[in-house]
Amino acid sequence: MKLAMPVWNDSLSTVLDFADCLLIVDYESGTIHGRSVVDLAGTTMAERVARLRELGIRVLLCGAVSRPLDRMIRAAGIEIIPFLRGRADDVLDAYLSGHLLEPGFMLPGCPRGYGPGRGMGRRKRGDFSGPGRNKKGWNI
Amino acid sequence: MNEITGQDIILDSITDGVFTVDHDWRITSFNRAAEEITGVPRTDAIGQLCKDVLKADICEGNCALRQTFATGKPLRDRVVTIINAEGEHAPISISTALLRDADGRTIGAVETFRDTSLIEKLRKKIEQKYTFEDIISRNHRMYELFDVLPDVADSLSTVLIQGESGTGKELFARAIHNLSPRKNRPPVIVNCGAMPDTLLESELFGYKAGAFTDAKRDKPGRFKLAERSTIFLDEIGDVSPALQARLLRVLQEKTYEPLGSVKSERADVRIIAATNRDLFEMVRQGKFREDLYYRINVMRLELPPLRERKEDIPLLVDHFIKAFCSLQNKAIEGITDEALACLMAYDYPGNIRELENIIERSFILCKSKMIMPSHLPEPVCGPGTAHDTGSADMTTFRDMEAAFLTNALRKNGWNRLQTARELGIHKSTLFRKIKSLGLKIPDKRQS
Repeated sequence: MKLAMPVWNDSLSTVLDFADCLLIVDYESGTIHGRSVVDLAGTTMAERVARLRELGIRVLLCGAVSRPLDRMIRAAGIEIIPFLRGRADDVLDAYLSGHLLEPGFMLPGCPRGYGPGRGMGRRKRGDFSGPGRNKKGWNI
Repeated sequence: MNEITGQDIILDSITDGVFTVDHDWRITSFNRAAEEITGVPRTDAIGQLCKDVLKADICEGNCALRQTFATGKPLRDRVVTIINAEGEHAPISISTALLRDADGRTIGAVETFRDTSLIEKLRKKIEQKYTFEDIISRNHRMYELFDVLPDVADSLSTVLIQGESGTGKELFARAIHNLSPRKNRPPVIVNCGAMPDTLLESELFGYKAGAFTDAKRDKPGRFKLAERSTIFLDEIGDVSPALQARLLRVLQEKTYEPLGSVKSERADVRIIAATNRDLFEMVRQGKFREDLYYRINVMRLELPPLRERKEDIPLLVDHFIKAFCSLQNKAIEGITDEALACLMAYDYPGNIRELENIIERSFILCKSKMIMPSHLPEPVCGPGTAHDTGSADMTTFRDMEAAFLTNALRKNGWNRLQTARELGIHKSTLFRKIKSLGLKIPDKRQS
């Protein structure tokens, strides 16, 4: 399965819409089989979504994301877990081990009425953060 | 951390967003306007890295504060884009400066910023550079259209946009163009219903010198001007049968001949057509060529009329009020619940364009801070309307919502599924509203 994370230096990029670099991680049952990096600089929203689809990305871990891009990614059938932050390796480990809901991984402030804010309050800790879970994605 | 200091009070009195950072880029103060623009409460912002709070396009790689720290020089009115409290791209104008203590040592930096979204929106209106982010809606049918829009834009296939007058067909066409790989060239807009047939033909295909009496020199047609771009043929249903045949040739063979020319020209043009007519019905009546219909009907987008997406009315009203406040330099803050109820109850044969005109008219009459029913035209708020028949007893928004839903249910024979469909809301939302408002649905056996 392929997972993507927009990155800046060794951290998760703060905003997916403005990120220039995408880290692609190939993994299966919690084990990483390979990594590669894709350049996103100068691409539009639609081109970003098309790129994710071409690459066969199933899950996207990212920082802040605008509502339209979030919708387009979901419409493309990609599971998106937004409003995360931290070192890319730490976020990846947390996702693979089901600990993504640690407070340190959440960006301050989430746009009103969408993102993790609504969904998270009703979920138990660790409910959705592992691979193969959260099939429905977060509430909008 | 929650303690409000004198400095906070001063900062809160400023209408621009203001925050300060220390040497580690961590926020040390954050005013109320900054909270409103970013959507991050002060208590959450203090101590955080400024990039995690501001969420701007310059934070990674071209940071204004970093530049100010490095050079010691302030920066003024640099326009950047952030993700705002609503999860939208918002342009802001930022300024930065160093903070020094009494001994002149640098203790941090300050950044002030101002939301310039409205200016940007007005600029877009003038330049007509709309993207699909500019289409205001929370309606599920519109969302379905938004979801396919990127694929439609990317495909370069011919698109047919159908919808009543004033539903935003041109806005959609521009949004498709601006999402497409052809976005760097300006789209060409042609209103086929606005020109007589002969003029339209020469406008579309151009002519050669000597083609007719006044043709002194070659004139390129709109298809030529739209080369490697998009042509938007509005009101395609008004085109004559003769011109339909010529358009069919462009679509089939990607070639056309300017008037008076003996040589064909290739047309590398993406076509988006729109109409407020039922083209299929016109085909059945023999008024529109069947082969042309199937050529342009590769991808059809059906825009719902405003009466079928009434949940968008408050959003649109709010948008138009902000826009007219800025254009007319007025300070109207909003609309009263009664006036909004009138707008919600109206059917809008002219759709969004009519709603815009209604708000523009109310701006002329409104001398207070709120738009009231008396500022609305008679068809909306006159005798026999929701305002006239029920508003006297309605003192709260809840009462008006109940009256509005009861009217809608009655109109649909108390069929809840049909009512939900008409209102453009999910059936479970309607069921929840009915329950929370305590509305009584008559038993079908009795009615």
